[in-house]
Amino acid sequence: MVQPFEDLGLTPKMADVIKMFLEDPAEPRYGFELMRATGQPSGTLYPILAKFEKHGWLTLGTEDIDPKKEGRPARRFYRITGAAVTSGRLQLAELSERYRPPVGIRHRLRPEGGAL
Amino acid sequence: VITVVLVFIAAVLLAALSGLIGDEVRGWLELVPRGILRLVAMRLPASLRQAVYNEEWLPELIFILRNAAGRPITRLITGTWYAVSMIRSAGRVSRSLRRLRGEDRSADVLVPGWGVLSLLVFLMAWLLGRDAFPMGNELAPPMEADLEPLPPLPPRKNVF
Repeated sequence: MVQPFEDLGLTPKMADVIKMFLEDPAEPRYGFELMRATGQPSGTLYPILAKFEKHGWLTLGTEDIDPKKEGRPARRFYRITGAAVTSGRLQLAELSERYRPPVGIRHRLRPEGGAL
Repeated sequence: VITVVLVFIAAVLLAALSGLIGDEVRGWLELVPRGILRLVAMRLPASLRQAVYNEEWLPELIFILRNAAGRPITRLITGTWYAVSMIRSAGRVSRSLRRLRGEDRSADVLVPGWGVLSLLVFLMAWLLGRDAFPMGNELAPPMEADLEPLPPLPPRKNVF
């Protein structure tokens, strides 16, 4: 069942997760794959996924496989909802703006690290 | 000719057996992460066990174990890492999920993380130490053996 969408304020850890979904909104994402990609332990990741699901940001699905043929049970996947794509992009842009270094500092920093 | 035939038969048998032994070892290796994850699932309240363990964690672990097919060490390490990473997080996951679902948190008793870890250490020690620490009669020899007089020492020779 798809939960109604409610806006959420994204924390940096939540933003990490939603960024993965925004890279390709049509792509289903799996728990272990997200753990590796975001570097977040299961104790952080699964509550975030549950929160997104509860607020209508993600929908749950089950992998479409024949368990007998594949020799394993179907995995559960998550997919981002349309409303979450819009809200997620806006919030990521806001976060990016918020954490952007001040202009004075930016011109004194080198991309490879250290100061000019 | 007989020797050549015997060597051939032995080689065929050895090849067949090595495959069987390999399959056996691979099967046992899969049991390690699965066993750990099953222990971790004990930390989840019954209301979440189906949704979290049976439908999410276990299929994911089995996928990891199947995905790295042909590389048993990689399989063991990745699967075990996945299962062990759940030890610390099971309590947190269940607390968060129950809060989100508005469930009563006092309904089930959760097994603490250190409890699962202690059980794991005990099981490992038991499996590894079965031969090192024999149990039963070998540990407590019969009393009669202790009471029997020692045999007399052989006469000492004067070497000087």
